[in-house]
Amino acid sequence: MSVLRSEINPASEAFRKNQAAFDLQLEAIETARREILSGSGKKKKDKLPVRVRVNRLLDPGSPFVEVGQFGAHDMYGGTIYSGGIVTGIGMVSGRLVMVVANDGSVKGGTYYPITIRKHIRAQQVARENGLPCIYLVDSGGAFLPLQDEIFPDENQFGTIFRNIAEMSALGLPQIAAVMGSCTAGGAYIPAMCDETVIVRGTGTIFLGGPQLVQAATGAKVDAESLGGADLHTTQSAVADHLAHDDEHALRLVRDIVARSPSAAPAGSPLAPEEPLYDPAELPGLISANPREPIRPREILARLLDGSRFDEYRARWGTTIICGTGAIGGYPVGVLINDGVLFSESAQKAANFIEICCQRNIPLVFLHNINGFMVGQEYEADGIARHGAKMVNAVSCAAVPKFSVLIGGSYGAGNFAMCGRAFGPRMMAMWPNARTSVMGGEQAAKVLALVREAQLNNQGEEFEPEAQAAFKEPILKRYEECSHPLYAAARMWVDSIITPQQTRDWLGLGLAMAAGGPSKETRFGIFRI
Amino acid sequence: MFSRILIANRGEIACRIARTCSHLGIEFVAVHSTADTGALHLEGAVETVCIGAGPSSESYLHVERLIEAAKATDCQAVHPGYGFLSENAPFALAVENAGLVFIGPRPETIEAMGDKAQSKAMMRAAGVPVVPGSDVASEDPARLVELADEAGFPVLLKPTGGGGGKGMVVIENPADLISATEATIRQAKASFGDGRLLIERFITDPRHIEVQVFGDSHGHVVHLFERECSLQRRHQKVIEEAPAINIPEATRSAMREAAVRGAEALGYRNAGTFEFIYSPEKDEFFFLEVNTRLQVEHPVTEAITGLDLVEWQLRVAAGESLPLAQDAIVARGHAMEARICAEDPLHDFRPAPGRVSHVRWPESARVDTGVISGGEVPAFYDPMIAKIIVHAPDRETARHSLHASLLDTQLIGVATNIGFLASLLTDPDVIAGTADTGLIARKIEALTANAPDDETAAVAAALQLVRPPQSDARASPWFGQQGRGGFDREMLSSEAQLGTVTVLQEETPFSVRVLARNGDQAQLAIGDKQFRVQILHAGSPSMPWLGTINSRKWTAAATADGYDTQIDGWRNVLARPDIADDMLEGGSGTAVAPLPGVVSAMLIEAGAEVRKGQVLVVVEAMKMENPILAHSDGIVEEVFCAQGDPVTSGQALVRVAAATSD
Repeated sequence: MSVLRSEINPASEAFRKNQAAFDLQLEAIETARREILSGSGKKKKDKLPVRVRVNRLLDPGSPFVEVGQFGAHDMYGGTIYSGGIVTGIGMVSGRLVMVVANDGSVKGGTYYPITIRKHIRAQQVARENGLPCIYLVDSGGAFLPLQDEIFPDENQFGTIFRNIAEMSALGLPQIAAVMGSCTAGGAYIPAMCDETVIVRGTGTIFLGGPQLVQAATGAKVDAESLGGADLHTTQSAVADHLAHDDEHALRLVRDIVARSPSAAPAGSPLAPEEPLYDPAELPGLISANPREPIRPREILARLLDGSRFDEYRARWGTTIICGTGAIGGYPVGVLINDGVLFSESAQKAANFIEICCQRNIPLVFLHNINGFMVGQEYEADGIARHGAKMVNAVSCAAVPKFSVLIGGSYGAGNFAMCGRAFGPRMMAMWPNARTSVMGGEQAAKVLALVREAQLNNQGEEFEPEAQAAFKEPILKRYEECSHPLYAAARMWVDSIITPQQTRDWLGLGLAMAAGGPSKETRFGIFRI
Repeated sequence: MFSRILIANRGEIACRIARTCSHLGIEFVAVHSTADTGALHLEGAVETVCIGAGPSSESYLHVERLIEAAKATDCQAVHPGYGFLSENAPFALAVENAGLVFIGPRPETIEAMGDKAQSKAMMRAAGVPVVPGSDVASEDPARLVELADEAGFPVLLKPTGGGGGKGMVVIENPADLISATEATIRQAKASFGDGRLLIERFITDPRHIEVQVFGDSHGHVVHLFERECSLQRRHQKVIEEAPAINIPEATRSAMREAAVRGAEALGYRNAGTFEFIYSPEKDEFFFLEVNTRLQVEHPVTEAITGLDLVEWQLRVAAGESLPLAQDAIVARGHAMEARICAEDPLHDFRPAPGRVSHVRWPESARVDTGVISGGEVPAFYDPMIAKIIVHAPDRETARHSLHASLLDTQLIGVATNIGFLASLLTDPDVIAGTADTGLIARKIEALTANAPDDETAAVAAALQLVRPPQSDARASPWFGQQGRGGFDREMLSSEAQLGTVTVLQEETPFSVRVLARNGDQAQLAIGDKQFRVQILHAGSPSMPWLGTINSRKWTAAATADGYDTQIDGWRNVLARPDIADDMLEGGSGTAVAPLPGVVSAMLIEAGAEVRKGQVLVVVEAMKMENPILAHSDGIVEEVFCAQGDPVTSGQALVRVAAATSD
């Protein structure tokens, strides 16, 4: 295997400029994060804040990978922090689990559309990677004003329950701790789970709350008698275990996980090694001007174990770099862009993906892509046909796939590099990354050309000042909607991570996927 | 020389005697009570004899059985060790009457020296300075008042029947004398069956210095220098050393000579110790008593002289002359000894019997012990389980060495005074060698103040950090072994970036925050105190965990419900806060009928005290008797049914108010 050598001088002016530009991008993310962390999980009487609950549940000393921390950011008036639900992967009693914890302090833990999206995304990660699910339930059910966006369709509320049943059938333990109200839809979570704990005094489960019962039948009943812990553990058997407070409930859940059959995570196939170059230098490699390329081998030299990279077909189709290496001791096949995709690049990538699937090597896609090459010559060469081969390969590859947007991720380039629709096990964005159907500049230019044609037809000129005024709102809108915060708020990605965290994030993801079920790849028809 | 002897003792001293026997090629027979079955002191014996039940009176104090055992196993002599029957004249006599040799002084010497008044009179006659006071014991308060005036205040009242300081009372003020005397007589009668008191001058802030003497049956007497034994807790020696320091040479010589003079006057045979109290203030010493046996602290004398005192005892008892003349006996360097006791310094030194799950003694020191890993410390006997003895060219080196040896001792399973002893060795007066016998009592709070509570909680928390099955480099990163490890975890809590571990010490919960972790090192915090815990050796069911916390050594073992830890010699037991389900039921103390039936028996009434699990009511249903049990300890508040009542499922039968665990 060859070792990548860096040619970057971290003391250079360009490096410092890049670092400064990155720091600005990062600050926007960290500002949003601070707002979310300080706004969510307020302490309520007798209840631990949601993040403290998760922290107490997890094994001390072990990591946590949050999924969708920025969910609902700047949506619904901006106060539905983390979408009112904390989801993520962690260790409980030595086993890897998915934690889904309602934040009862955010609108009573009610489900907004993004809350549902996060819940289902968490269940999907659990199913794909074979993780038991732990639901720390504290939710008033659907957020009624938006019921039309959360109730009736597939991938809405009903899917949560179907997922619980299907995962239980797959042998993945579904465990609930009722640590607040579980009203209406919320009630079915503990009811559907394999095993349920309920906290005396704060936990309640009912299909209809006291108000609804009064409205429907005129009967007045208090929450505790209607669906409290004593009722559910002595009469209804909706809950199996009685806890006297949050801490006790979390200990009971830990005990339940401890006697579940899933095994502790196995070690990596290879001994992990640090890269030869410091990942902390990565921000300095990201060009301050997004039009300037990022040097992909410099990135890989700071992400791969020992900076070792075995490049595939290095001299052909050079706008995509493919090769194998390892991250944290886990072998990976890496694809990273070095310019727009040409026919050769797409064919090489499709071939490389096929090889990795054959050899059961997980894939890591590092997006920095404006899209496929356009122009008469390329269309004539059948670039759509060649691009389709890559998209086909990415779609059908059943090895674990991971996507990280390290720069732009635009148009069909996003698809070919395993965008959200192509089922990466986990997907993240760097703070400087952007994603949209095309770049803001191109979109503005295209729309301006269309407008100009219309004006010309009417015998009018499209003056330069008018053009600029026309383009400005388009550029602004594209910048906003392609931003990592916008993407993460809508769960297009699971996380926003820093370049320095990327190795750890991938290592944890690879380790998780290594313990999950494996599937054989079967490709669709390649248009040769 | 004897070819076979019986060792009429147990524990470390039996082991100590056995060692010399083996060295000299003498076979020995070991005895044991049923509580000592399998004990270390039985190893190497040609025969072992069970002499009775656990209580000493049934075994180690049982004269007939010991003599019977010695005869039945063809022993020629009996070594009594110390304690038990070692200073019991009738036993010594019985041994001799059975045709065996008693390895110790003549029975009449033992008897004479056992009577405090008599021994004092004999010593005064021999020209040994004695404390001003009465020669004759009395239980007449009026006579005792006269005697007190003669001796001079402050005075000490000493019951003749008491030993080891038991029952002694100091009176500073003449006005208190009558009432105190009467009370002491009453108490002495009750405790010892003998109300007679001796009265003598009380020496303020005295030091305890004793001289080791040896005599043979041929009229030779030598001394083996003195020992300083001022560090005492409730008149029990804790740390001893030899030679004594901070005493003028002339006084030291005078004391040694006085002891030899006294021994010669008694025609003393075998090992003996002349105890003196020394007043540093007035540079005067007074005879206290003669201990007619080998002392617990004899190893410090062995260390400085290079002699084996048990060997001397055996030789003298076998009729040989003393191996060395006085001028051939030389002292070299300084020796110190610490007595390790299974007792809890944090709870008024109450004895702490139990199973020593693991012990590892320091390798750099002499250790006399009767306990090994897995061994029991029975509740019947003295809590002393070992002595650590060091020898160095000078006192300061010896003190450091003893301190290090104490901290190097790993002992899990029972509480010990090791941490207390280590604290004691760093006391300024102990360092200066100016401690008096009241030092420990005066400074007890400071000496027990450094018991590590937070540290042990932190260690227990560190043990709970999950570890991969094998802590190798290829472990899953989910174990948090590599690098920063926590990833998004710090976003769950800014104060406990890697979680919180709660452990209970007795009833007190300690919330330990995990701040960072790298491999087998963890940064932990309790309140605003931070700890760096390192695990040096991962434990197993048979071996404890070892490590450091802020550079202090710890030893810990996982137990069924928590952790047993030792830091700097202090033992702490921590529990995991697992709340049993039945504790929850305490909140709802109402016992209900589980199914419809008829109350066939009422076993309690209102106001009755009940224990958890006790049957309250029997409900007969489906031809089966169903006992209804109390969920918790408590008091029956109300009874809702009577015998013969039909009851329905879920009907309340009895309400029990749970006992509060004040």
